[in-house]
Parts: sequence; structure tokens; C-alpha cells
Amino acid sequence: MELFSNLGLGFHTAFQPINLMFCFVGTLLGTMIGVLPGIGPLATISMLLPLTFGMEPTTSLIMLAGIYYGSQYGGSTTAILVNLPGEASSTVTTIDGYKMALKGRAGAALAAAGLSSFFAGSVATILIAVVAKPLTSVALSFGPPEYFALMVIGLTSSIALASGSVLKALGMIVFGLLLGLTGVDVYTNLPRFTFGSIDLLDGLSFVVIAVGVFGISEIIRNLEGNDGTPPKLAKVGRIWPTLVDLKRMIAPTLRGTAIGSAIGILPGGGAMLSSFISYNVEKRTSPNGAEFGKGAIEGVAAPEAANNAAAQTSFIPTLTLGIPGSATMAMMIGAMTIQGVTPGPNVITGNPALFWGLIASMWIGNAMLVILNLPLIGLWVSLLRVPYRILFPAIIAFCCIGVYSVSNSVFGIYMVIGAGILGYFLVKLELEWAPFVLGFVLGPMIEHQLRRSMLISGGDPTVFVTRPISAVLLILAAGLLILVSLPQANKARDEVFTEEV
Amino acid sequence: MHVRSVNLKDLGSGLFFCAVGVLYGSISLVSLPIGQVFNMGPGFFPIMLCGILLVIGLALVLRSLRNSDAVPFGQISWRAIVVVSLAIAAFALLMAPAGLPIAVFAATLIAAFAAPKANPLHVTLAAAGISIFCTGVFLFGAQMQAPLLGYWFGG
Repeated sequence: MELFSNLGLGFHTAFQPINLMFCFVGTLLGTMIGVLPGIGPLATISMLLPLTFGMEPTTSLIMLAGIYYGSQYGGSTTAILVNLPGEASSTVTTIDGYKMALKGRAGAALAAAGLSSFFAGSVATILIAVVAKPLTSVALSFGPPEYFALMVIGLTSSIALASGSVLKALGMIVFGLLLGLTGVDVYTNLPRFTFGSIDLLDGLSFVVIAVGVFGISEIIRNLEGNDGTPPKLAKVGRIWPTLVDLKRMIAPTLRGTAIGSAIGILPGGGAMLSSFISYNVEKRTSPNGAEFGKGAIEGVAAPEAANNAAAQTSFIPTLTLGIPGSATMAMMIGAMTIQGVTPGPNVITGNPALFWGLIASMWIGNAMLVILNLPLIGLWVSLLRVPYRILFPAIIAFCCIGVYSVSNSVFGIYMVIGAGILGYFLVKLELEWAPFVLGFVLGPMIEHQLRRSMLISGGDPTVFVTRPISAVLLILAAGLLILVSLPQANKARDEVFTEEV
Repeated sequence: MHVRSVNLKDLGSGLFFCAVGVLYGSISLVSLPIGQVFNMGPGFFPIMLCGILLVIGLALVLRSLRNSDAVPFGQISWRAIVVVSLAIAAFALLMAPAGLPIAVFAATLIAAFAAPKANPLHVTLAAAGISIFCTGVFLFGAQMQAPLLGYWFGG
């Protein structure tokens, strides 16, 4: 079986001591930062990204993936213990998780989240291993118009899944596409939008923007409503769930995994949506439906399984097509590019050790999360006790050090100030940065595919609608855009995102 | 005549997008060749994007003026913005001349005053602690390329 030999290669790579160690360090640091209230996975990854630069590509990607899972799980911990979701996808977890915590069952809730996430992660990892190869061969048959259409649909579905105004999300995407073009144009060697700065010839640094808009502006916003006292913590209590708890978790975990795996593959960041959907499904089908909202363990297990499965399967479009499905995946692609790896169908054939090693390490990372988090809950709780007034100067220092080590120059640090202030004001205007990041990463790629499409078609724009695959994708994208612009659809979307929260 | 209510968040977003569209659009028009459709120049795609951005911006402005609900801009925490910016600038300014530990110390010390009711003694102790921690972890641990002592100290 080819699959097994591939996975064998993967585990061989992932189990090399150095990779194993950095997978561990990544999950540990990711959880540590992710636990801090108000810091979601995007901010966590952008802060820790520079730590991975010194390593060789495989090790660095493995560590990065570890950081990603860690930050996700850390977010759930905060959601359960202090009722503060670190990110949108753990919002649902707060509903029943925090109620459980108030009843003195925080430990069981954390264990339920950890175990169901681990199960979902394992299933989704196998799914990636199975579908990656066939999908890659499909991807290799794609020409520039198909890629262009794929990216368009990725961008439009990120609007569908954004929580605010469609028009504003669209604007942020275009703004992102535009800023993504900064630097030397590869076709003509002309500098674009560099404002005469040599430091901008290589483009705006992805790390600088991420640290500025997700790290610094977040800190400024947190300082508004925070007088520096630590949040009220629930007692952890007994960690291991009872046999009854475990039995009640099984079916919801399975359903959550299925829902999450399916939605995660869709471009546009399915982690949040899948956790909302699976919560609502459980609420309607569970025999303990009445307990939902009052501390039902199903209400923790299902959405946590779903968002972890989705987080995992969202690697599929990223790794096989090189097209990020969500802002977090866009960051991963940004990081891979910095490492000199161009994500896409060629990675799997050109660098199989990296590809399969990364997949194997996803599973290892998930296993480490369970091993790491459950015994270390005490440590995470004590982190939550650190007052914010001590914490945020330290986070600022980490951000500065991180940005400095990307380029060994202070130019980026000044840019962070600008990005932070801009980030703060745009968030005040209710403009979301996630669509921007997707646009920023896709900007150069989408322009490249557009130019190539026009070159091969001799300037005939109908090429996008005469090639069947690209035509179908573009029609889907247009349909999606029309759908989300309809007032009724907007109302339904609001309901999905606000129900019972 | 009644005062018309304006959604300031939509208005601000619209004006912001228009400003970006005009700025980037005019740069592209002035300095970047557009090329032809079958052989696009570096200016083609940006001008397309700026056009879309202008349309979105104008639509938002119109919507904000027609909107019946007044939405205020909300409170701005100038203190946090200014102090946090100063802290980051201090880090950048002190890195080469003074070295990493002092840069981190200064940045965290300044940053702490972004929060109301900062206690000078606690803040100094915390800044020293963070500085030692960062130097240990990043400079010695992660082998970061940064001076321990800057050129002020002959480093």
C-alpha cells in the first residue's frame, strides 16, 4: 500500500528527535500564549512565527503546526475557565464549558475538549493522508484560469463566513490584495507602491502586518476595558471524566468530527462555522437537549471535535493547491514561503519527506496536546492568574523581538507601530482583518494567474467561462456572493453566529 | 428640518477605502505601465483593484448617509495608542546603541504606563524580570542575532 509507505516516511521524519522536540516546543508555546485571554491563534502564530525561522523547512513547519494546534487548544482552555473565547471558533465552547466550570466540573470540561479534539484530529489526519495524493493529481491538471477561479471562490467564501458586513469584508479583501502587491513586479522588475523605500522592495513583511494588527492593536483594545485585574477563575476540580461522561461524549464527538472534517475542506475558514453547526445539531438531536446551555458535556465535546477536525482538514486545500482556506492558513502559507517552500501540488512530489512528515506530526501534535494539557492544567491556570498589566508589556517585548529577528533590522519594528495603529482604527470601524490577510497572501498569486491566463488566451477574458472547471467555480463564487448579499441570507447568517451566545 | 443620523462606522470605512483607492490608483496611473489585456503591465491589476475599492467605498458612504440608525465612532484610547507606540519606538531606537536587554527593559517599562494606575516600583521590577527572561530565552536560548551590549558600551 502506497499510503502506508508514505505514512511510514512521514512518521520516520516526524520521529526524528529534533522534529519531535520542536513539535513539543511548538505545542507547548502555542498553548502557553493561546491560553492568555484576548489572544487568538492568529496573534499567537504571528508572535511565535519568528522563532521558527532559523530551522530547516521541515522542522520549522512541524513546529509551526504544533503552535497552531496549541493555540487552538489554549483558546478552548480560556473559554472554559474564564468564559473568554480567545477566538471565534471557541465561542460555542464557552456556552456549556463555562457553565460546567461554574458547577465545579471545569476539569471534566477540559478533558472532554481535549479528548474529543484528539479523536477528531486523528480522524482528520487520516483523511488528509488519504485525499491529498488524488487531489494533488487533479490540481496538477489545473491551468492558470482554474487557479484564478479557485482563488476567487476562496476569497468569496471568506466573505460568507465573516461575521460582519459583506461590503466591508469585500473592501478589506481588495485592500489586502492591493497591499499584497507591494514590492518589485516579477514580470517587469518595476517597484510598486514602495514609496521609494529600499526596505519595501521585497514586499510588505507578512510578519509585520500580522504582529501589528493581531498583536499590538489587540493589546491597545484590551487596555480599553481592562483595569489590569486578572479575570475571575473557575475551580478546575476533578479532571478525568466519569464513565457516564465518556459515554455521553461518544456520539457527539463522532458527529462533530464528521461535520468539522467536511466543512474544514471548504475554503473560507470553516472552524468557526463547523463548531456552531455541530453545537446546534447536538442541541436538537441529543436526548439531553434540555441540559444544553446549562453545562452539558455534549455541548463541549461536539463543537471542540468539530473545530479541531476543521482546523486539520483546512490543511487540505493549503497543502494540495497552495490556496489558503482561512486567515490562519494564509499565515501558514506566508510562513512556508519565507522558508522557501512554495505550497501547492509540487510539494508532495518534490519534497515528500516534508509533506508526509508534516502530516504525521499533525497526529503527534494532537497526541502531545492531550499529554501536555491535561496534566499541565495547573500551569495554564496559573498563567491566567498573571495580571494583564504585567502580561501586556511582556507581549509587546515578544512582538518587538519577533519582528526584529525576522530581518535583523529595526525597519520592521517601526512598521509594526503603523500596522498596529491602523489595525486599531479599522477594527473600531468594524472592519475585519481576517479577509484582509487572505487577500494579502493571495494578491501576488491571483495577479500572476490572471496575467498568465490572459497571456495564454491572447487577451480573451472569456477563457474563464469557456473552460468548464473555472466556469463552474466562478459561477459558484458569483452565486455565493449574491446569496450572502440578500437581506434574508444576512439575517440567517446573523442567527447562526449569535444564537444563544 | 431634522438632523440626519449618520452611521459613522460605515462612513469612516467608506472614506478609508476611497482614500486608499485614490492614493494607490493615482500612483499606478502615474508610475506604472498598464500594458494591454493580453500582456498586462504592472499597473493593470492594481488599477482594477483600485476601481473596485472606490466603488465599495462610495457604496459604503452612500449607505452610511441613508442609514436611519446613528452609529457613533466609539471611544478611542489615545493613552494606550501613544504609550504603546512610544514603547515600541524605544525598543527600535535602543536596539543597536544599547543592546537587547536594555531595549527590552525600556520598552516594557514604558509600555506598562499604557495601563491606568501603573505602580512605578512594580513596573520597574516586572520590566527587569521580562528583560532577563527575554535575554535568556531569545539571545542565549534561541541564538537570536542581536547585540547583548550595543555600541554605546563598545559591544
